[in-house]
Formats: sequence, C-alpha cells, structure tokens
Amino acid sequence: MQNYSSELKVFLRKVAKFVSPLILLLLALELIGYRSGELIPVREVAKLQAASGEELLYERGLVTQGQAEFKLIQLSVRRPEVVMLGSSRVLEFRKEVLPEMNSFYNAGGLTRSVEEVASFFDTVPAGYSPKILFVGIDSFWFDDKNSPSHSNAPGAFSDDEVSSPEAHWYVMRSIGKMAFTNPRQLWQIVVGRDALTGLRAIGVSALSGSGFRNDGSFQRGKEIIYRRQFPSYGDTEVPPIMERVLMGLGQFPHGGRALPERLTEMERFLASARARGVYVIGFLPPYSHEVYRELASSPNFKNSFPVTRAALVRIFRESNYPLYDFSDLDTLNMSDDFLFDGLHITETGAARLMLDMLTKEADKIGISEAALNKLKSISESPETTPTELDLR
Amino acid sequence: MQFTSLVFVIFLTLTFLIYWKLDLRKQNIFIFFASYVFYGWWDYRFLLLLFISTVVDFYAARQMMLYPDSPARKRYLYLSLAVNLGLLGFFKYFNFFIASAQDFLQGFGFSRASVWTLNIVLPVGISFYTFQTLSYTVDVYRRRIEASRSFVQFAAFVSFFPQLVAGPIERASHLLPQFGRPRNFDYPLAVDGLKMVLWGFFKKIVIADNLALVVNALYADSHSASGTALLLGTIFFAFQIYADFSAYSEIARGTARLFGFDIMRNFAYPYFSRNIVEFWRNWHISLSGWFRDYVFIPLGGSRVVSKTRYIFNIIVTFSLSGLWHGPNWTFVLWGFLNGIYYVPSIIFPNYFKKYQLGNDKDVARFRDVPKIILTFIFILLTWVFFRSTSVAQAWQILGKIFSSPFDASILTDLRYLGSLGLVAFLVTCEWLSRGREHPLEFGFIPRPARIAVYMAVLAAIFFIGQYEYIPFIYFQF
Repeated sequence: MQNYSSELKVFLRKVAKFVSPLILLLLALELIGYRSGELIPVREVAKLQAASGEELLYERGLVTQGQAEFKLIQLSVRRPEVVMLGSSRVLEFRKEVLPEMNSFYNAGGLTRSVEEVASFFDTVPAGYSPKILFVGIDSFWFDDKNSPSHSNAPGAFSDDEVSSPEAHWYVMRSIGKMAFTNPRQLWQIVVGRDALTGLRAIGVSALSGSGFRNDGSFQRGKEIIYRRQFPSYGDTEVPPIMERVLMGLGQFPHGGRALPERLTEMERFLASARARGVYVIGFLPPYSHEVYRELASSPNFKNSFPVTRAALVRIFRESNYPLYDFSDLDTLNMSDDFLFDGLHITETGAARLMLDMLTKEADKIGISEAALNKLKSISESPETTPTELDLR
Repeated sequence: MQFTSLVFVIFLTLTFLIYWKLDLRKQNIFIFFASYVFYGWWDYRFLLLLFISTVVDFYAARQMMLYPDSPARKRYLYLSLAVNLGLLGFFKYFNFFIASAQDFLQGFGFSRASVWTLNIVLPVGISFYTFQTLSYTVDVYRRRIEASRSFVQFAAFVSFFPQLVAGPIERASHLLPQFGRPRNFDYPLAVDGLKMVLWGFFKKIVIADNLALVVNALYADSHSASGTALLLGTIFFAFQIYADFSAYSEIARGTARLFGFDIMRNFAYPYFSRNIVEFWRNWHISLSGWFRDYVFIPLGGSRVVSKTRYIFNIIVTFSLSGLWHGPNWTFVLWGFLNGIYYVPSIIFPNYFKKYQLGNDKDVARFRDVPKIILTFIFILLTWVFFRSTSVAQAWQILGKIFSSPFDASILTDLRYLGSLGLVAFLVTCEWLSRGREHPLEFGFIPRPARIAVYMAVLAAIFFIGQYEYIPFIYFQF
C-alpha cells in the first residue's frame, strides 16, 4: 500500500467539494420522496393502516402501486371476518355502511375476473377464511371475448417496485421537477394531508384526496371535489363507458357470448365457499341507465349480458346463496347521480345497495334493527348527497 | 455493468480509490480483477471466453517469440486466428450463416425445415476484445511489437474495463506498454477525464436515449409512419447512434484517464466531415484503422496494379466491416454502400488528398456547410440499412421517404420538436468545440462559469435524461 500523492489528495478534495452538495440534494429528495409516501413499501403501508388508530389514505402517483398485492397483504395482516370482493366497482363500500361489522375489509381490486374470484381461497393465507363474503360480480367477466386474468394467482405478484434503485431515482427526479413546475404540490408533500378530508396521505395521488382508506375502500377525492362544483351526473371515464359500449371497446366487445367455463368457475368458487363455511352474498353492481339499456337490449350483447345474468341467478340459487341484481339502477329507484361514470357507484349509492342487501339478509348474518336504522338514517340524511354520505 | 448506472458509479469510485493505493504490479493485478468483475456483472459465464482468448493469444505470441524463424510461428498465428475467429464465428455468426445457407438452398428447391440453428446468446463485447487480441498476435507475427512477458499485464490489457465492451479497439503497440510503465496520478489528465465522463453521460442519457424512444417507435411501426416522419426518424437515428457510441468512447477514455491511461480517440466530430473520406477518418476511428491494417492492406491496399483492384479491396473491406457489426445483411449492405461512396476518392484522388492526410488542425468552417450537409445526406441513406431489422424493411422505408408527400403533422408533434431541439443543441455544442477534443474542454472561461456549465449539464442529465434501460447500441455488436 502506498499513500495518495498530494495531487491526488487535492483532486479528491475538490471532487468531494463539488459532489457533496449534489449528494445532499439527492438525500433531501430521497427524504421528501419517503415523506410523500411513494417510497414506503406496500407491505409497510398495509401494516400501518392495519395498526393505526389514525385514518390513513394511500395511493401512489409516481411508483407502481401493486393494488392486488396491497389488498392481499391487508387480508393476511388483518384476517377480517367480513370481506368485500370484486373489481374497482365495489370500492365505494366503506366500513360505515356495514354497521356492527367491525372486522370488515374491502378487498375490491384484488379480484378483477371470475378466474381470480375462483382462486380467492387459494390466494389468501392458508387457514384463513372470512365468515361473510360480499362478491360484486361484473357481467363482462364471463364474455368469451375478454381475456381471462390470473394476476392474483399464487406466485404471480412481482416485487414491490420501491425496492428498485430505479424507482428511488424516478421519485427523486419527479420531486426535483416539482420544485420548478409545481412548488405547491411539494409543500403539500411536506404537510402530508389529503386535499379532501385532511387525512394523513401516503403517496402523491393521496394528496389530491384519492386513495385507499384503512378499511380498503377508495376515496375518490378528485371526482368528489368535482361533484361538489358540478353535482349532476357526467361520465368521468376516458373514454366514457357509453362510448365503450357503443363502439365495442374495452370490457364491452360486441358479439361476445357468456362462456360456460367461466360460469363453471363461479360454481367452483361457491362450492369452495360452502366447504369452508363462508356465507357468500353476491351482487351485480349497477350501470348507468343508458349503459344498462344498451347492454340489456342491444343485439351486440344478446349472447352475453342477459345470458350471464340469468345463468348467475341460477348458479346462486342452486348453491343456496343470495344474488342481488342491481344492474338496473331503477331496482332501487336511483338516478345516474349515484354513479361517477357508467359503471362506478358513489358511496351513497353503495350505502343504498348495502342497506337493501342487509335488510334482506339481516336474519342470516345477524344484524340488528338498530344497525339497519343507523344505516338508513345515514343514507337518508338531508346532508347526504348522491355522492357523499353524512357520517357525522 | 452499464456505464450509465449507479452500480458503475459506485464501482468506479471504489476501484479508483483502491487503485491509487497500490504499486504498479498490484495495480495491474487489480485492473485485471476489477475488469473481470465489471464484465462478469453481465454474465459471469462469458468470463471463460474472455479468459480463453487471453490465454491463447498470450501463449501464441510467446511461442512466436521463441521460434522466430520457424514455420511453427505461422502455426501459432493460425491458432490465435482460429480461436478468436472461431469464438466470434460461433457466438455471433453461426445462425446467420446457417439461415443464409437455408435461404440459398431454398432457392434451389431444398426444404427449409431440414436445417437447424442454435439458441446462442451473444457474449457482450466479444467483437471488440477478439479484434483487440487478434491485432496483438498479428503484430507480434509481423514483428511490429514484442510479445508481452507478463501474463498479468497482457490480461489487464485485454480486459481493461473502460474499453472492454465497446472499444475503442486498442492496439497493443499503444496500450500494452502503458501497463508496463509506472503510472503516477496526473491531476490535469484526471480532471479532463472526469469532464469527458460527464459529457459522455450527457450524450448518452439526455441525447441518445431520448432520441431512441422516437426512433424505436418509428422503426417498429414503419408501415404506418409517414415518409416525412421516417426521414426525421432516420436523422434522429444518425444522431442517436453517434451520441450513443461516441458517449461510450468518451466515458471509456475519461475513465482510463482517471487511472493514468491514454486510450485512442474514437470519434472526431464525424458529422462535420466534408466528404466520405473525411467521415471515415473521424467515425469509429479504431475500427476503421483495424480494418485498414488487418484487412485492406493484406488484400493489397491501394498499392495495387489497377484501380479496379483498389476499388475491390475497398468494397470488400467496408462490407466486412459491416458484417462485423452484426449477422444481418442490412449491416453488410451498410458497409457495401459506404464502400461504394469511397470509390470517387479512388477515381479522383487529388480532390480528396488533403482529407486523407489526417490534418487535425483542418477543421470544418462555416463555408464548408453545404459539403457537410451533402456528406450527411449520403451517410443518412446508409443509416436506413443499419437501423432496419431487414433489407426489406430498409427498402420499404426508403421507398416511403422518397415517395410520400410532406406530412405537416410532424411540425406540431412535441416528440419530434423536442428531439429536433436535442439534435440542434448537440450540433451547436459540437460545432463550437470542433477544434477541441470535447465540448467541456474549456479552461479558457472563468471558473464560476465553468462550474455553472457543469451544474447545468448535471441538471440536464437529472431532469431531461431518459432512465428506461437502453443499453449502448454497440453492446450488441
């Protein structure tokens, strides 16, 4: 070993002097990234939400979130007795609309296809089964022209993206850019509260008021803020759901048919539930009036939508489980104002659906009259709007 | 280990700090060790190939020295050629020749299904280090240099990590002796090295990788892109490949300087060339020199009886240099076309003479811009073949470029406008610094201004840089 030459020492000193402020700046950006919640691993968020007495709102905006993984971790941490299962269409069911069911978790987003519903019991930790399972079923899951999805199959989850240096670098760069393009948002990160309800926000998107609450339900902050200004119904999806239905886009391909194999998957799932002693309450979430009319009457869907509905009624009946078909909003005399778009219901709409189901299932799931009255009063409070519930 | 990665920055820092603590002998051992770590980071299995090439060439050269007048000397040269070209041929060209033979036989009615190919992974940098070691054994055979007596020095020379994966393809006569000389830390050299590394990072991450997104999208869907967009995409590719490859070379040179080594310049502002001869004097200089010395001259070079033979030698050399880039006829055509471009310089040598002399002081001036643009247009045509995945796609793109009407929508497309901005910035920077080695070589401006420029470059890398994993283009060669 030899000592560094004086020239080399000067060089190292100068490089260190040049680089030190840059490293400090990067460290500061990393810290802000962590403060924003973007760099907190999903597993840690799940534990925070499960343990915290404080309500936290979680939605990343820069790093991929891993929604299904997040929900699955929550289930394994909490092991709730009552679980809501389905796609994003069931995410507005919050714990307040299930009075007396303290052990509730909304796992909406964990299952986005009938295959994923069918593999639910294989996906959750061994030995765990909820007592009551609400399952929101999307009619288009059964369409042969829609690809099956197995993204929550055991072993299908990839590593949380925040474990990669690239994600940290990306967050640091995004936050650095914010300093120039949106300093207000940078300040919001430091404050760390969501724009709608002031909850502690984890993730940049949660700052705007959109994110998963502790109970797994989704607070649609942006849409709610918009609705406060423009209360009437207007489809906020891009492209709008009706356009998808008319053009045969996305989940609504024209000329599809209900696939018997997928209906069998639902039968398999119900049989598994029965074997585990789980009480399943199925329901078909609503569509807007025009979307429902098109699905129900257009020749483009004649072999899919009505066939699926009829088949599901039969399957549930044969399995001795209830199925509530809310596809048509008129079932509960609701207007389109109870939807955010052609297929996503508001919290108030979800409360009405739940009230209907709980009233009919009260005996079987053991819910008291008082609890039902409480939900009814929330739902009918003058302060409750079609979008927001009066939870005071 | 990609140069533009955090891992490399950490690797470089640690290697640098340890290296200067060691004496010469240990420095060479350490470079050898560090280079194998660097290379093994991609795939440790390919270290064996590198080691085999090193051992065989060291041994062959030593044997040539032991038997100076014996016919055995030639046998050892053949051994080196066989091993290096064998490795290259198998790993890089096996499937190409099989597939080409298939196509050929199919033309005579033979069945295609009867011939088989292998699923071979191309070891990164194999074209570079095999050529570097080949030049060593050939030079020993020609008695231009003496065989190295130290295996460590030779192994460090072959595997020297800054230029191992994508060149410059160094000559043993230039680089190998540097491993035998004591190296003292040279402050100005190291500072200049850091500046080169910084400029290389900028060219790769900001210019090349941002252009890559537009180019890849256009060439991946050339059927639906308009002729104007494809023309623009090809211009962007010309600058992408230049920024990408010259960035690698500059990072390599800069890194080598940090360790007290001087490796050759690989690019000298080639797009400011005023004709094809000058372009090839300034583009991928180390490879052009290699083909000149080890292919063109052995073929007879320019000292042949007829101009026809001279032209033949040039075209064969260029076509082989095209094939060196990859097992695809698109590369061969790229080389062939460049060879054809060279023909006027053979027919009218007097006009091109001054550009062949290698006068570095003779930089392009503003009045040369028309010639520069004309040269660029010729080069641009060859890039269509180079970038296309097949000859058919190249013809399809050229057909569209020359036959489609002007597509005005590109004028409002932010992707194209942003890319044009990057190209314009690069061209301006390089034009202003064309008399120097690189644009950050500006000791003549005040220190605060210099620091402001470095900060601006770093900020551009941080904010405008493209961080999707886009390997250096020449890694695939």
